Amino acid sequence: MNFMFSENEKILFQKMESLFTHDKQFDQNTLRTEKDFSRALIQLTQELSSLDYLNAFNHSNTIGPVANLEMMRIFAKYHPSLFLGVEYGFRIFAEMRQWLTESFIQSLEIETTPPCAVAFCDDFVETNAISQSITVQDDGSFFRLSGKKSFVINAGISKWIVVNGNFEDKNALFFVSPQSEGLDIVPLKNKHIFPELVIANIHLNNCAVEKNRVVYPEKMDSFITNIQLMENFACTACALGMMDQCIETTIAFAKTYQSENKPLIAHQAVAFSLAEAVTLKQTSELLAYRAAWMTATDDSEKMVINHCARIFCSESLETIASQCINILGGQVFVDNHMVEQIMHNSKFIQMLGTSTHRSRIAIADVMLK
Amino acid sequence: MDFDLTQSQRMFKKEVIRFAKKEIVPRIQAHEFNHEFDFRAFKKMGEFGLLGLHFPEELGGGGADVLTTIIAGEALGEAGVDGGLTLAYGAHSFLCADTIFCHGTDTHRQKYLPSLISGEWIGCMGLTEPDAGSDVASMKTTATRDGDHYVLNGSKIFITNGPIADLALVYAKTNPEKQHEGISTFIVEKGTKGFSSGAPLKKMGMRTSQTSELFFNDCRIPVENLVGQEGMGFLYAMQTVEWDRSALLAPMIGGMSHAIKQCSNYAKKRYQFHRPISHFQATKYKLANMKIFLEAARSLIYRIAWCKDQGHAVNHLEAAVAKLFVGDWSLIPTNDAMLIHGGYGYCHEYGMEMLFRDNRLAPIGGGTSEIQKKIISKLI
Repeated sequence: MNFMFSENEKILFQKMESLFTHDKQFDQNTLRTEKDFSRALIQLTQELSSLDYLNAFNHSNTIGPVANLEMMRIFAKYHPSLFLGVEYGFRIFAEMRQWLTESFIQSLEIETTPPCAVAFCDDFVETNAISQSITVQDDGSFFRLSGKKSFVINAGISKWIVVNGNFEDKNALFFVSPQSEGLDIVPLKNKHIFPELVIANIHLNNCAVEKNRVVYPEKMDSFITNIQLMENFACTACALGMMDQCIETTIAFAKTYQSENKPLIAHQAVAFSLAEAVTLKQTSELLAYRAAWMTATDDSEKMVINHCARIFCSESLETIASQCINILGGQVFVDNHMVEQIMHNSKFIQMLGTSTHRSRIAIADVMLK
Repeated sequence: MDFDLTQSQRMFKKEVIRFAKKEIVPRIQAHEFNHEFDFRAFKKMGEFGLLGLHFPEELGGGGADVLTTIIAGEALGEAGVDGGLTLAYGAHSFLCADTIFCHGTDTHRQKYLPSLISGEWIGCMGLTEPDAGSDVASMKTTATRDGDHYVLNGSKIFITNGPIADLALVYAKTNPEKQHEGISTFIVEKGTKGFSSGAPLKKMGMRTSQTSELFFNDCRIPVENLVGQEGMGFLYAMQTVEWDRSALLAPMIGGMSHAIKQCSNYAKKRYQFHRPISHFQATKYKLANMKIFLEAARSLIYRIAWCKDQGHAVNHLEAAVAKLFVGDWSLIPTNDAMLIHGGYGYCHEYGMEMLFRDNRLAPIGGGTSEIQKKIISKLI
């Protein structure tokens, strides 16, 4: 066993921190449009590539998954929206590549835009990554897709939207061009979660997809499991990063704000509330590290622990944000306060990808085998 | 980072589970029901090598590292051993024997440890007093130097193994004017004139462990029985905290593994509304929550053991976090374990109500949750 990061890993984390703390170009205020966001994603991905950020889960000769999770956490702490944009736009596609042939990847002509948006979620109320409610009709050299997918991250700015479906009892991934006829991308306006993140619902109405843009993964279950793993990691790291922000902000406030002639933190109820928050944070991070470490093993419990980490971290974030709001008081409800934003985000993190509800059922199903 | 156990640790864990299921588990119900300590099981633990697992082999110990010791505790819980026996084991091996090993003289080690390690003798630690619980520095028990002796006066309360101990490690003020710096540590043997224990207290849980008051009435002990230096007692007591936060919590984690297996098996067999209750989402949620708690808590405890093995001073923040989490967050999953069993869970036979009662001690014993929060909030 070893609970410490190596010196090299610590240096990497410092570089990661400095990327965000010394560079104002990723300031949230500059990300006003989808174009701004897309540009920032591309620029960030280029800068992150020098830190081995996106390769870690795929290549054994790079930094391990635990260190990578820590880097993801640092990213999410400073820019949760950009973080999810990068994870969904780039990392999940990187994971998907192993299921695609080289010639198919080349035919996608991905150069600078985020390569893919993953549209697996039929209904945001009940997320189910393997649902196949999209109808598919054969139309000569095309397939015609009809149906709806919800909460598609990067839908409006990606080169391709990957829609899962089923044709003649075969699982399929349809690479849909955003310019396709019959595709309606409806951006979510005035959403209260991850303000800069580009999210849309997509409506497919006899949407034409060329047959050479369809992939039939042989082992769809393994494919979906891998995608779920990546999504869970994104949610877990995002939760950890936002916890850091929440707690640091609140502790700083509690140490400086005076109430009844003493700092707020000197009041026992406040101090104890922060102690609970720190307990949840430390417990979350250890569980998350272990879940990350298990991805590099053949352990049969890999997916279960991964679900456990995602549930615990995302729900702990909500508890922490709530406690922090109690301490910070009314100020959180004005001027888009970061902690109030995190409170909203925490709920989304619980639903994104495989919801905490589905994750719990998945954990129990394994236990009951 | 690396979270793997070694092959030998995994095998050892299986061995401990096998041992406990054979030698301890079949005897629990009767002893638990009658609030009796299982002397035979305790002796068997000594013979198996559990009571002195982390002590050097030359003293009769197993020479194991801390992590392996923690895993043994976890294995006892996983086998279904009750909290009372594992608490008695913790108080004996870690709070009493380990302090003698760390701070006693060679004579102390040679004289007492082989008997404690074999289980021939039972040890206890006397720290808490009727008016000095979390506030240790306010203890009133005194140890006054009188020639070649110390004279102890005062009383202790809630002492695990108190009524059955052959040896008590007692904390008393050698300088009542001082706070923590006035506390010293002494070995008091059973039968010493002026030393007695009260009747076992009737407790909600941990019923097989015997808990009582200790009384010191002009109890004279030779100066050789001072452990370490005068005035260092508080520090020694605090060093046992590392064990409190790992070895004493480990059986609770194992207990949760045991409960999960019991609940899963029960839920698959128990039919209501023409199907097993395992098919109901409410049952699945409870099982999943138990599993999440188990995995979260396990990492916290392993981390403390690992730090101790590496020779790192255990960070008080991390230790307090582990204690607080296991203490406070275990209440819901142990309650759920009982609820899955419904009315049967409320009955003694199924063991879930015992788990529920035993775990109520987690936020109280070895430093209350409030004390942990106080420590954490001071360090952030």
